[in-house]
Amino acid sequence: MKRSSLMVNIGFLLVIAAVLFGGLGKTVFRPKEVNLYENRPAHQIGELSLSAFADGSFQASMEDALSDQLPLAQTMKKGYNDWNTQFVLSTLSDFMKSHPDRYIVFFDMLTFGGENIVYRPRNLADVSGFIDARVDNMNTLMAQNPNVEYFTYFIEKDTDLNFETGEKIGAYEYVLDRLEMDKSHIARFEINDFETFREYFYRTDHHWNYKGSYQGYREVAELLGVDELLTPAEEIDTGYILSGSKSAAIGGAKYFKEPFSAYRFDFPAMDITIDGEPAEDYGNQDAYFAESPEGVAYGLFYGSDCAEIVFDTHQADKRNILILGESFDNAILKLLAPGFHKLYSVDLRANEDFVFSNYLREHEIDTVLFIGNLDYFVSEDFLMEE
Amino acid sequence: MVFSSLVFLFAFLPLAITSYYLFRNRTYRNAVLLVFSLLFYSWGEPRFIVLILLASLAAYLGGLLLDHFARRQKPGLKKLIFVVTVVLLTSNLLVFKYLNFFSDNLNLLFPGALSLPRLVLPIGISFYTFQILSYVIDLYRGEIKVQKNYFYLTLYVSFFPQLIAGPIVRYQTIEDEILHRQESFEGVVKGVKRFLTGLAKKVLIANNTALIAEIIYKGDPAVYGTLFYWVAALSYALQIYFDFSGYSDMAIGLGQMFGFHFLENFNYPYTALSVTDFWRRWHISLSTWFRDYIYIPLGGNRVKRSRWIFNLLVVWALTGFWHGAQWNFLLWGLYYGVILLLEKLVLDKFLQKLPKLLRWCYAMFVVLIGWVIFNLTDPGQMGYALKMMFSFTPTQFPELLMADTSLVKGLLYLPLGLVFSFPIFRRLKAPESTLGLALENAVYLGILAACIVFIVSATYNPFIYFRF
Repeated sequence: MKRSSLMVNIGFLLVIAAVLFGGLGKTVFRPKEVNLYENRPAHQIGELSLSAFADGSFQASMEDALSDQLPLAQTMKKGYNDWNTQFVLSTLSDFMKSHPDRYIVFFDMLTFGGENIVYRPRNLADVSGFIDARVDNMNTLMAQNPNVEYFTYFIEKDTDLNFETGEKIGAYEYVLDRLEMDKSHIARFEINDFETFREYFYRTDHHWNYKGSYQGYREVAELLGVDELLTPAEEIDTGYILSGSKSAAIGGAKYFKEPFSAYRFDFPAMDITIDGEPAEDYGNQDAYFAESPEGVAYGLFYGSDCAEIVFDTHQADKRNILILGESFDNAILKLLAPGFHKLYSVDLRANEDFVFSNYLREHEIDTVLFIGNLDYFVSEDFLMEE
Repeated sequence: MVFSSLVFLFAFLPLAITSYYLFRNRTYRNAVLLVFSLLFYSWGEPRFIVLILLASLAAYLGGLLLDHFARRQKPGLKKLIFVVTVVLLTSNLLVFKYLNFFSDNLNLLFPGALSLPRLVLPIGISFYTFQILSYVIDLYRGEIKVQKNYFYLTLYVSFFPQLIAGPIVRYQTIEDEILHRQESFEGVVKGVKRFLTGLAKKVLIANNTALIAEIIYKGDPAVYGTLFYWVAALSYALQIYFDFSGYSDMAIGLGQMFGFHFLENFNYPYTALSVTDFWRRWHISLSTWFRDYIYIPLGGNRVKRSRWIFNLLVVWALTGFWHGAQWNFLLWGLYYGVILLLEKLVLDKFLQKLPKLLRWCYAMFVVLIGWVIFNLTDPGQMGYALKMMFSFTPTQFPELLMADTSLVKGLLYLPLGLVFSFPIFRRLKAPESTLGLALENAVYLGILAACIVFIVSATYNPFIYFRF
């Protein structure tokens, strides 16, 4: 072989070796902690042990770690997803808009109405077993702690209704039927058609939007017997563009976007404690109205899922309420707080030490609100120790 | 671990090559290959590493005894050892791959007749069993010398390039290369390029053309008409070809990197002009294995016609069944057995007179239908798909696009698959100039980059609640 060809081939192999060893070295010796693009902790190589190797968990951790830690891994994923989404949208965008009344499968999700990303309506038969377990758990705990007033608020969303046929899956009625509490203490955020869903929910995120959360607040307040409601001081287009959880799920963040608006409220003074530490605020609403934080997300604006948040309004003549919810109620906690002496919010997914009876006793809880969407009544994450 | 995984590309392969070439000594190099091969196998199946070592031990001990009795001219004992060893090795395969199939079917006929635990199929058992059998049979026939080193025999059996997806490498192919192979820099470069070709076939073409068949066969059957059932058959044909031949290319390339030379396993099968021609080009190592170890010992075609027909059908039934313990694989094998018979008895004369294009259309028509039988293990679904392919039902295009927009992405790769099914690059000569070589290398680096992007991107798994 000619010397020049030899050098070219040596260079070829060296480049490949550099890429492969560089990727391995970065993964092993300089792993990063957070995968910003995928919104989660970055995978790292697990601890090697005989049992971890035997059950395959070490091997899986190594594959996962490489997928997150390789140089430019997130750039590759983003570029690939963007290209994928762009290709399908450029080919089918008109088609999708010309069939607004049909579900269209878009990667792992559906679109409806031409531009909303939606979840597939669930099948009650598939989830009823899980709902039974959850409701039984709630009934048991309520029976063990009878000196408290219980309320339940079920938030319907795209999983509860077939937008094409208008048929509801009946999950709320199923829960209502099985909950052993005063039926007048149970209500729902009702979605009966796509127009209502479109008005009250984000197009690209699984949460209710500012109109939906405010409507929900009003209904919950009425359910709880809170008379004085906060009203919006103004409606603001923050100027931010939201690309929510649903668009992230399909890697379509670049193409599925919507303007982010919100209501501004004049909240009364209250002391806030988050996970045991005093906090200036819950959520970052004021920051978004005043400054320019980078990027927006539902959780960043309204507040994230915390093990425990306590709002103390120092109104000793009012009730103490425990709200056991998930991320939907994050948007209404500060709104509800002025109606109570202390509002305790516990997200059971983040609070592993929570013992229901003890908590009620220690914090002198008068009222308990169970609030969430269908997933809240299905997921084992919300089961409590009996 | 598979060749197209990140662990293999970024950890296993670079460490294996580096460790290998750190040593000059042949024994140490073989030891490195053995250690890495066993690591490769145990990575995916830690508990079944014992099985492959035992199978290798059975062949090793059987081989020593065969050689012992052959030298002492005791043909009776030699034959006994041969039968025992073959039965032992075949039983291993039969138990793990086919026992559940037999018990399930027995229980269908006689409910509750047999209750057995579900056995997990060890990775690569079909491939390494056939490799070990080729060693034992060739040794019995006196075509190879006995391997007296258990570790070298285990290296042959477990060698990671061909362990899980072939090609089925006969011991005689690499007998000499275990101890006397010549590694070379050019061989490594060629091996790397062959590997990258296979990787691109798998990651860029196979994985993407697979989308179409997956969407159509898993979707609502009422949506897709005749045209798209043919498109699904075509997409699966491309998927399985690029997947399988891609793996073979990677295996051959990996072998070259370490100085081994495996035989080709595919020869552009979709250019075949008859089904007979197709099977000379598709999974060559398997068809030649069945020819040399089953068909010819049964008498081949040097027997009376009825016996020849029986031989052919037995071989093709076994060929089909080797692919999987399901009735559709048996049917697929027999489908080809019958068609090959028809070609040999009747059709060949007529086919020879037809223009090449028509002969090609005939061959591809038969092959596509064969792939539908191969792919769909559920008889109802298979029957429906075949019916739809011949029913002239129109496709509801709006419904088709609503059912899954990813279809358009899959359709984008279909032409690529069709083009690269043909030997369009065969006529290209190796570059003679340094610039030509540099350009060729740049193309391969681009292929590697593209493959890495696709592999990494397939792991996209966002968490929708954190921060939201």
